[in-house]
Amino acid sequence: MKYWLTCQNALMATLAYRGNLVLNLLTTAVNVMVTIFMWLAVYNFSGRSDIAGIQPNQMVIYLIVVNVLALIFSAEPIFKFSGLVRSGNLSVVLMRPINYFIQSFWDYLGRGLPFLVIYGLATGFISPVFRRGLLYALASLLLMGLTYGMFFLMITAISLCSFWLVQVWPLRPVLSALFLLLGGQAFPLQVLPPTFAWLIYNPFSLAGNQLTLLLLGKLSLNQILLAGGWALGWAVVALGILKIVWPRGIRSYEGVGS
Amino acid sequence: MPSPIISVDHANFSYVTFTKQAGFSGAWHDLFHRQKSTVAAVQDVSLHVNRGEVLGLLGANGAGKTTLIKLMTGILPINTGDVRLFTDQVPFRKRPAFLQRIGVMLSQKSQLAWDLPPLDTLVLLREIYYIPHDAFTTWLAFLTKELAVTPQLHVPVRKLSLGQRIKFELICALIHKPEILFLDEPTIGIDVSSQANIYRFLKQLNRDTQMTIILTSHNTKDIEALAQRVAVINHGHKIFDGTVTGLISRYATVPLLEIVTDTPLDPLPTHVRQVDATHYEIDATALTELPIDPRRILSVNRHNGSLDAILTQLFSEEAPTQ
Amino acid sequence: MLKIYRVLVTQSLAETMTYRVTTVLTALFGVLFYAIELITGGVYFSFTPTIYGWNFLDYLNLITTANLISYAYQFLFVAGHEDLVDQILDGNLDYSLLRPVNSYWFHACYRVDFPSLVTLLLTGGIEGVILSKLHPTPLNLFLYLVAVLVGIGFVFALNQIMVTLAFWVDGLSALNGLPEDLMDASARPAKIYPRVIQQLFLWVIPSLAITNVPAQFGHNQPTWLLLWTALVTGVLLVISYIEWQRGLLKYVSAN
Repeated sequence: MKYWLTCQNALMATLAYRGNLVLNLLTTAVNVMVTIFMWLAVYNFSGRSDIAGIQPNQMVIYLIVVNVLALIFSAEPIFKFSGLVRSGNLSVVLMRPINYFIQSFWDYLGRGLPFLVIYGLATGFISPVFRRGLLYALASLLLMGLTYGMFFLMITAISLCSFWLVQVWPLRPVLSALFLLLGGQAFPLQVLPPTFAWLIYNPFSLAGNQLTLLLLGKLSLNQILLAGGWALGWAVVALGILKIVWPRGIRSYEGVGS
Repeated sequence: MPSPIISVDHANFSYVTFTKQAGFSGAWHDLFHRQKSTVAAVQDVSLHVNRGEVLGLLGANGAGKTTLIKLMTGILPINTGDVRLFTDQVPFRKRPAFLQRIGVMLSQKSQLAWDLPPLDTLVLLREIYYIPHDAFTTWLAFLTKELAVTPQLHVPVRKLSLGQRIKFELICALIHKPEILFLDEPTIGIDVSSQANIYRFLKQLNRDTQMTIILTSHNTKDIEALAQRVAVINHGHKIFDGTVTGLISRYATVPLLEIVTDTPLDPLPTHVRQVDATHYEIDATALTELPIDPRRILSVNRHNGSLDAILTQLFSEEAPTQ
Repeated sequence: MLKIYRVLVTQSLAETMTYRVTTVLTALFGVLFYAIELITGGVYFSFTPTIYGWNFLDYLNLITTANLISYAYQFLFVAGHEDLVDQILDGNLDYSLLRPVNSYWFHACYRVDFPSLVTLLLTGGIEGVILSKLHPTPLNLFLYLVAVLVGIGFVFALNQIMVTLAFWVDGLSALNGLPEDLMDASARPAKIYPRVIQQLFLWVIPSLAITNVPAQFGHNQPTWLLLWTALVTGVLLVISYIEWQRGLLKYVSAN
């Protein structure tokens, strides 16, 4: 119940700064438009109706969806955590009878809720995911859930570097560059030469590229399971990092602070 | 007689504010029918300052003294009346030749670059005011020595104490050797020794260079230490113009003496009222000499005789009806 | 005026030296995002040799020129503009009113942003290589440079107009990113856009023309549009100057 409140507050915060939300969406929309027109021109002049198995109209959906996913998979927890460490408020938070990470997860969920709803609606209405039998639908839902949890754990693991770094703002452009290039936001990774095929199982690609292809119905059951396996693997890695780094971080924090 | 260096004649300045209503419906209402109200910050003020004078502007917060400074320096335009400096300069026109001749230091505002040493800001001002390099170096060395901040010239501003920062703000205002120096709350928030240092320096400057100094303050110590003349501003009106002693003698109408003795007085002399064990009050109008043995007196104070007490009384009075 | 500018540049350099790590990182990220644009462009042209008559080299010329304009703006003005927003919102312009210098130019040129100089020089070098392969005629090369200068003026004026709005509306700081978004979206061949969008951004708010015109001169396709962009930029500069004067009056009355 108390975590649900966190989620609600986070959603309210997103909605309260409507101006920022609208401008954020506007910027994204402009970027998506530019990329869409560029791709349509590429289809037009290459004379192909299919690039890496994606048709022009599917490419339009791909670009829109992957940009919505980029908004869902934000790196905000890093900056929130860093703020707590810098201000010394982390001690206060840790004394509360709640688990900080669980609370942070609900906060993450609340902030991303408007975009999650958009992704959910798109999956429900456009996507063939739920018309391919129960097993496929369940596997798809599992992949979405796993990937979401995995990415949150990844970001949380990265946020722990706040214990040792004075400034974490450089992570913002780095992570958005990674999502652009490795997450398939600038272009679907499938258009790259086959030598780069291994790239699609990196955490950013799982969150951006794979979830978009899933929505387009481009993933077979096997591919879903494979992606799910990778997501699980990355989640375990992130969890491992958290388990190892957290106690050391706390020690260095208490040594320096208070 | 030479004409005054500053002439303010029947100056008026008012500004418009919008009152905000609370809540969403209030905000909605404000969107279409904003409640305008005109605030008269300066009303029919006349003031004449001669070259070489030090004038203190006294007033409570919001009395209009900072506004008056802004009118004289040309930051604000007057609505009606006339403000002239150097006999023919209208401040708001901001002629470069005019700006070159005045120096201004505003409290709460800073012209020092935060991450750089004060010297960098001063070098910028050197170029802005076309100060020759040699003159700049000598004058700056003199200023920093007098204000005891020479070692801090190369320290980033963010690492300076408030007192050091204020001294450098003052140096910024003085670097082009202005003929008139305007100081708005120059010693706000700094320690007593820095204050004393600044007073001594400004007095010396006024004596040696005949620099005219206008300062505002609600700290009466500033005024008593520096000003030869004070003008009291209350609710936008000038209510007094004269010397500090003149101000005290004019308003200290009830001479009430506060006396502290070493031991309690027994019996209590007539006309003496006991406040507590060794603390007494006497209405001096009723007596020609003190009815208390002088050897037992620890201190005598004339209540209502300090500038502070007078100003507290003056400023707490109701605003004149407008 | 030039002497004052020299002092301001020296001060910017001194400030940059205080935040060395930030400087290096900012420069690196500039390079990083430029590299992403290059890779993305490479992907597009791996499927077709030309798009609306632009080959890969022409396209590189276009995005590099667009970057050149935006980095030049950032180097020369962005730090001043950021500072100006703060000064307006904090009500800290009183001293600017009291100094015998032109406050519009003083604030616009208050700081240069050295991190952007690194990326500016880098894109400048790359653009030099691209131009040496495109072989523009001397006249076209000259007009290319003129068009780039007009572009810098255009981006400056748009930002100046946005920043000065802070005199009237607070909480608008998020809008200050709009000119950047506009210029990012304009770093593409104009022809890829539908006709309406093309007309709008070639003629009304000629941001597409600002990036496409110099690129065209670069590959020897001169265009009269340069005159139009120069005219619009001039008008925008005048508007921003008038806006500044009005803003100061507004600032004074709200004092």
